[in-house]
Formats: sequence, structure tokens, C-alpha cells
Amino acid sequence: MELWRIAVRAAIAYAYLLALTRASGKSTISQATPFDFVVSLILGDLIDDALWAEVPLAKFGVAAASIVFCDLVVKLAAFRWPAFRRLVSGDPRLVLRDGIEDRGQLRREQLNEADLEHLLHEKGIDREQWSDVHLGMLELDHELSVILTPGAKPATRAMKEQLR
Amino acid sequence: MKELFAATLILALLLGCSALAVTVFADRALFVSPPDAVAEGFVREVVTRRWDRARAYLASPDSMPRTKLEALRSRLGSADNVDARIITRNDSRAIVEVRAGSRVLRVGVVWEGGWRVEEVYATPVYGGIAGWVALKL
Repeated sequence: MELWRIAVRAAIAYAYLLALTRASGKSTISQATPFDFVVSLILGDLIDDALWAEVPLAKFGVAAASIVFCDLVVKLAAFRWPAFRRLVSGDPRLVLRDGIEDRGQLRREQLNEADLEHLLHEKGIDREQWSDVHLGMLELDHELSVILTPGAKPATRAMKEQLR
Repeated sequence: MKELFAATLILALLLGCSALAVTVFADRALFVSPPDAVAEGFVREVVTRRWDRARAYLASPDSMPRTKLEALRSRLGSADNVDARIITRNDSRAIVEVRAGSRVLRVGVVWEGGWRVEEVYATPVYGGIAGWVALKL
């Protein structure tokens, strides 16, 4: 297969996926849910077939658009109906309250205490400072949001770097 | 809803470009799978004994019943490496040489709105200038 054809096919597939992703109003990577990651993997697998011309570009286009359509429909439905959103995305989980971890919630998220410690380290909170945390909420994108107890000092950038 | 409309528009644009490339500009290898990719795919399916998927590559699926595909498979053996290159080609026909392990065979591919396998030659029949002449005639 000629190299220039591979390059042109790659450029078309790239531009197409870029346009589709922009059109679907994708959230940023930092807001991506685990299922967004699965969708990205599927699209990545599809583009592989298109690059090596195992399928015509039209078939690749239809397959990629179908995945994006499904994702869009689910997201729009989740936006409109909160019950549906809970069904497909789940709810944020309160994993830490007043410095005490909720083991049941952690188990449901398949996290252990070390994972929680790591997430709190990223917020600049050491083990000794857990009592300063009023609420620790595991968001849908698996980021931990922390509300400190009144009077507790938020971590500085230097403290976060030190804990990492 | 706006996003769905935009995504549909982008899909329509790609399909439109594909159709235009094939019908107006006679594209036979960019927006569509080229003959070598088709022949290679066909041989891969045969080697891995996926008969129905192999038949999907054929111009006329009835022309190659399962017994014929099994005979081809036993000729090729269980090759891991399948590689293809075009020997001769014009807008409607192509002869592709496919290497499956240590075996080599030639596959005749025909354009029917997409490249399709027409025939598998028992021995190499066309090649080089002779093949070009045969196709032109």
C-alpha cells in the first residue's frame, strides 16, 4: 500500500474524528468519566481499521458516528432525566466525613484506604490532617472533592508538591 | 439536539466526499479499500477458517462453496504472516499477489462498487508487462 495513501487516510480520519468530537461538545479530559474512556478506546480501534484500509472510509465514518450518536443520546437523556443519569453514571459518593472514611462507599467504588490516601495527598492533605476534612466526595470522574472543616487551612501548592 | 444535528452533518459530509471521490474522481484506493487490502483480508479469513467472512469478500459468493475454501485453506496451511502486493491493475480489475507464510497465490479482484475477489488462481497467471497487456485487452 502506498505510503502517501496511508498518510492521506490518516489525515482524513483525524479531521473527521476531531470534527465529530468538537460537534458532540465533549467535556474536557479532566471531566471524562470511565465510560468516556471506553468510547475513546472504541474510536481508537475503529481508526486502526481505516488507516490500514481494511474498511472503506465511509464504513469507518458510519461506525464512528454511530458510537458518538449513542454517547450523545445517552448524555442528552442523562441531562434531561436525573433518574436516567443516576442509572448510567451513578452518583458522587461521600467517602470521607469528618475525617472518617466510609468503608462501604469505598468498597462500592473498588477503592482501598491507600487509594483514598493517595487522592487526599493530591489535595495536599496528609494522613494526620484527615480530621480537618469535613466532607470528601468522590465525583463521577473519580476526582475527590474536599470540603474542609471551618478553621482548617487549605493546602498550598508547595504542600501538595511535598506530599507527591 | 444541536450536537446531534452537527454530528449528522459531519457524517453526511464524509459520506458525500466518499461518494464524490468514487463516482466522479474514480477513486479506487483512498476512500475505498484498495485491491491488495481486499485480497489480503480474504486470504486472512480463509487461513483462519472464517468461511462466511471470507465469502463476504467474493464478487459472487456462490462461486466458491465451503469445500473450495477448505481446499484453499489446506493449500495455504496455517500462515501467520499474510502480505499482499498489486501485480497489475486498472480501474475495473486487478491481480494481487498474496504471500501467506511461505506460500504465494494470485488473486483476481474486480471492481463492483468496491473491490471484490473474483478468482483465486492455482498458479501465477499474470505478471509485469504481460499482466498489464492482458488487462488492457
